[in-house]
Amino acid sequence: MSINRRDFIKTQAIAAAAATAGISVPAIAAKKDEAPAPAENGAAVRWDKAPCRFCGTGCSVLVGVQNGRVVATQGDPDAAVNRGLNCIKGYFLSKIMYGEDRLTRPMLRMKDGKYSKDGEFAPISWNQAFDIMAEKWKAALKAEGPGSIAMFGSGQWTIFEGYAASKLMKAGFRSNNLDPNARHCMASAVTGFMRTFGMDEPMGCYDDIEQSDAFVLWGSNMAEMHPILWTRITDRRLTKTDVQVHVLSTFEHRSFELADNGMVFVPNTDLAILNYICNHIIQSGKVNQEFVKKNVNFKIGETDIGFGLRPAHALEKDAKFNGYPGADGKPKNNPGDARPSSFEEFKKFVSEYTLEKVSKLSGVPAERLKKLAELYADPNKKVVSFWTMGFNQHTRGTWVNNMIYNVHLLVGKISTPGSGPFSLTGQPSACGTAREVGTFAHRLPADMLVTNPEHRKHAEEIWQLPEGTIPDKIGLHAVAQSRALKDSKLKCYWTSTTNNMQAGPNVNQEIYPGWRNPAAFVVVSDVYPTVSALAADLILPAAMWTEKEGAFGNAERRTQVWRQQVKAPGEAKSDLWQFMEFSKRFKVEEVWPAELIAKKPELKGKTLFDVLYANKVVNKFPKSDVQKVNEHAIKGYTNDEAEVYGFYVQKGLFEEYAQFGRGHGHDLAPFDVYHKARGLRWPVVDGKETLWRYREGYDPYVKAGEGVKFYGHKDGKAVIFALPYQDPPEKPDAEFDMWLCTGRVLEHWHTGSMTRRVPELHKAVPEAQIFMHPDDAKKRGLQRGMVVKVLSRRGEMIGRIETKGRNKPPVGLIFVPFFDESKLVNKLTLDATCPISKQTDFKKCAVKVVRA
Amino acid sequence: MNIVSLVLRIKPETRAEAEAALCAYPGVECHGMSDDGKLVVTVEDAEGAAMSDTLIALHRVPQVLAATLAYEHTNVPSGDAPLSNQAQAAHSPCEEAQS
Amino acid sequence: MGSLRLPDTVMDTPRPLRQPAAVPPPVSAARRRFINSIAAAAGGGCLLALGAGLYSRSASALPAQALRPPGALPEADFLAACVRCGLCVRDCPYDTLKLSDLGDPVPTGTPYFRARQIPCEMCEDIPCVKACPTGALDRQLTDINQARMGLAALVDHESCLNFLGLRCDVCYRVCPVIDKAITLEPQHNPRSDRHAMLLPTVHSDACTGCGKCEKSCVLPEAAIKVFPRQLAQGALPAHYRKGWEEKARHGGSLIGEQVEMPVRGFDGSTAGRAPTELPTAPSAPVAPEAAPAMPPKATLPVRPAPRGGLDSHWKP
Repeated sequence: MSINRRDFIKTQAIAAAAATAGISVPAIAAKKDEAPAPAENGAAVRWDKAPCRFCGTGCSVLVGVQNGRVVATQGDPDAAVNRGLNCIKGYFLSKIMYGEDRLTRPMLRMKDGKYSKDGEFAPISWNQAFDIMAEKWKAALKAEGPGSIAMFGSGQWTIFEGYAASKLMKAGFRSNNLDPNARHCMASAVTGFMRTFGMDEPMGCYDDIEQSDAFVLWGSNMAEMHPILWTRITDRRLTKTDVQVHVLSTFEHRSFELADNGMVFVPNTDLAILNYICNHIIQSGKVNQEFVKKNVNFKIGETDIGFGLRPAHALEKDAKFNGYPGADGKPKNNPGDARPSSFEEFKKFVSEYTLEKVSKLSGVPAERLKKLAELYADPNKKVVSFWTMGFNQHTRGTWVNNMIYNVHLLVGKISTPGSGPFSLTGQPSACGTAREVGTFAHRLPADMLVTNPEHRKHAEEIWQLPEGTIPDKIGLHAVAQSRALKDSKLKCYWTSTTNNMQAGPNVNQEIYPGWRNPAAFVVVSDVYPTVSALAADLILPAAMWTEKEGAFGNAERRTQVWRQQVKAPGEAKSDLWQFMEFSKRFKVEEVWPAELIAKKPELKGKTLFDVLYANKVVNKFPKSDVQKVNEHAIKGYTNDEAEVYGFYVQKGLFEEYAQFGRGHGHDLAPFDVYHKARGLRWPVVDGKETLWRYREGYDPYVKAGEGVKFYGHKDGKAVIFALPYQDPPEKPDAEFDMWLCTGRVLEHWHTGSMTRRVPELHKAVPEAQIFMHPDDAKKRGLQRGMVVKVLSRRGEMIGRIETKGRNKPPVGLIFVPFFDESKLVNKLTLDATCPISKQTDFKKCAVKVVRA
Repeated sequence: MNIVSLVLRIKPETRAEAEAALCAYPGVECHGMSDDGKLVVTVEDAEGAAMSDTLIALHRVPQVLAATLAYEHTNVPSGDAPLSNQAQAAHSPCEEAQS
Repeated sequence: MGSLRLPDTVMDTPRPLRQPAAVPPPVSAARRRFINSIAAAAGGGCLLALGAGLYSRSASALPAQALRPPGALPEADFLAACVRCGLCVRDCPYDTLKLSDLGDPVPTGTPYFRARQIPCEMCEDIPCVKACPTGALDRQLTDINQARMGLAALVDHESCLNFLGLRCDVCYRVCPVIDKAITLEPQHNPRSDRHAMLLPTVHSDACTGCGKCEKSCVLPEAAIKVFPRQLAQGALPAHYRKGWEEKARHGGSLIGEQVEMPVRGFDGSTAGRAPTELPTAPSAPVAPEAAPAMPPKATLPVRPAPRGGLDSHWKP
């Protein structure tokens, strides 16, 4: 048994004093509250399955519980994704729930015993918390209607939580102002998929890696951000001759280490590079004519679409297709618009993107671009393109997603083992919860849209609601929510399982003033006192990971379910319980107009809890099912929600939700099966997973003889979009002379609220550094290790310069990770978004660096 | 992390009151007493109370007749890089070297 | 626009946010100095009583984990030249260097550091060397990359997470001379059969011994440790050469083109395509330090020539 340094010193101190006093003192025991080491005391460690809590890779782990505490984890050696391996974050999973400062009681800003916007946080009961919330919500709904409340959710919510929240907001409160933090992360991937294929999420899966001849990374540093997938790519590169790895980024990072062809390009010129590749494919006669003819339509997209800035911004005033209200009050067209076109037109469109021109524009040597283009064009090379935030966090994020599909569609390298475009995710359930459940402001479950009357009707039928319950207007997306708070249009705001005050853009000018706006009441549900929690008015303590029963969906459409393993500390409760409990505070009469209730008089006098959750479907499965379904894994199993509500809440929610997708290409297996399986890739049809979609023989939705069918669109075809290169909204100039790119490091996940509470990870990377080219440092009279100030038009931050080390930016660009809450790099970033996906561009804005 | 140990002289019969009064201070623990009233106490930093402040406060506990410092350990928590580029004055090794 | 300032909130639940650098030491500097001096005075008396025996024993050898500052002369010369003034320690901006106390296993009064506690941050201007009045720290050392304070060695393959196939490699990413002093050597992982193991490998020609790797190792006891060079490094004899390196350096076989005859019933060369056909050109053992602009050390057998991309020649 080891005793820590403090105890050691203390023992010495006592011994010294005892010697002086001439007495003997019994040795003090090791720290009392230290967890007993597994296998050292009697109780056996119980092992059960769970997905890792961090990124979208979806590694399976086994969780070891002893005496009501998670004491250890291990990679599941039989899991297809990770075969028993984990990255360093997954290695420390057993510690993330046990940070010293877990939130255990609701806390409200109070003065003189009452809520006050400028009061101090004081602990209150859950009852008091819901009292003040209900008071605020009811007042806002009464005065200004459902548009004045909003919820900001998470790709880290369990599927059940996302679904319960969606019902509460879209049906209960009749507000589409529900958006997940996945808006910052995956929205461009979603709109990219929807525009090109009419259906969300990748067609391929991780098994492509072992089949492929080449990998191209577009704005993805997989070596650090998807470490376990990266070792699969590395292994493929090692064990098969002639496998190539191409890496593109705006700075050199760890993935370049494996690259056969590394390319650092000027920010935003990926648009031009993609058009050059299409041009090369066409010019060299390598278009897969048969595939294109049968499976592809051509369109030309609108281009004058703005940058998602505030409507009054100079760049938005003249934009004709940004969708903002024009002088007549009507929206100025739709940034997503496109008109039909032809292959010939597309050929002409991309013909101006010549090798010479694009090489000059992008700064990438011509021979490297050519090598990349030849790889895609070579009919004998199977290629997987991976991307993450480099594409998605882009003011032309939807375009750039469309444009990588252009490349794959032209050569037909798609939906086949070893070839395909693959959009990776950053959150454990960005796919499972945010996208599939439809917690976006414009979505309903299973890719359905709030603006489509048929979709709304279908949802209302499944939810047993009167027709017209779900509002037809798209709600406020993440960035619009921040703006609406600042503009006093939003009065009540509930954010859960996310940390927007650290992760959102332009914190200084938009988010912080919005949250602290006296007109707003802001509630944060979380597990630790994050920057967001401390900037809120009410903090609700949440249960996390295996403190509740849950389900995540990873990047390859794999749904993974886990059982509750331990109790949450103190009064912390699952988000699911929080949503359901809050719904009890509202009678339909308080939230719905009389004419709506009149359509279903039997709902009169009922609470939202009765309407949404006790609707005979969600509460269909009795509490005894909880034990029955899980008896094989944990004897006498139960979970907290079942104990409170007396029915199997998770199963009821899941089975109701699954109705949306079954038979529509999103088929989920029966709930009970997931509790017995490591994870299954949907559509699960006839007891089989689907590894590749849209291709006969692999996808049950493609009939014999159809070959390839992109059935997301009615005509079964995908779309190639002609889209140009455009400059970003903010570029370095004489004063703000550098690009700023933000991102992550391997050791910390997102805002670090979990990983920074693991001492070993904190020690490994204690603070965010400013990665800079040595020449840039020299030019400014700076040295490695110096403390500098980084300024943008929006704010400033202080940090240390790093000119060596893991990231090597080119001259003119700095890279700063965003995990460090003591150095909020998002005070600097610009809240410009892709006008179609509304996802922020965190990868480029203009800054300057000076001595602090 | 700052930890010191002290030998406090008290009247043996006042041990219970003395320990109660001492342990009321955050970071103070009592570990044992000799028959003639030498009480072994450790003091360390606690939230909101620096060890040095507590040390002075202990002298004022009525039952404490005298106090002797037996062992002292002070250092800045390691593992955290100092933000300032300036050497910390309190840590001057020259003083230590010359003492 | 003012910068973000969080409202002053009093959380009644536990401890302040983890903001490592910002936590002030709870004792005021002046008061601590006072207490220190009392303690030191008391301690001095005790130590005198220990006598000279202990001292003479500790003076003889440097323990394996005590590292000398950058530019330190060979140990014997260093001990002869160091006047124990403490100026290098005073000028170390990161509190890395310490003066050994009586009773420490390092000759008393000499500067040293332990990588696991505070590693050397490799200041570009090397203030400790500048401060040295005697040249015990060699003033010819002007490029910190040339410092050889020690040598990192991955001593425990059994507990190193990357050797288990996990993706830790923290030691690699925190290395200030990344891709030169530590590289990741990929190897097929036969256990998972689909992942590679990325094995951290230290290169003695570039490792400065700063200790960042040992400091940041996430294990309870570091699997990678920095030792004085003579402890960490082996040496090859002159009587055997690495044939593949000699060939690469020579630019072809040392004995020139040889006759190769076809074999009946078998097409192609009998020699086959041996790994020696695709040699990486390693730098000669005594090659000077690579210039910063050089491409990172190649880690895979086949690698296209120069990897630019560091500077895209783009200017704002």
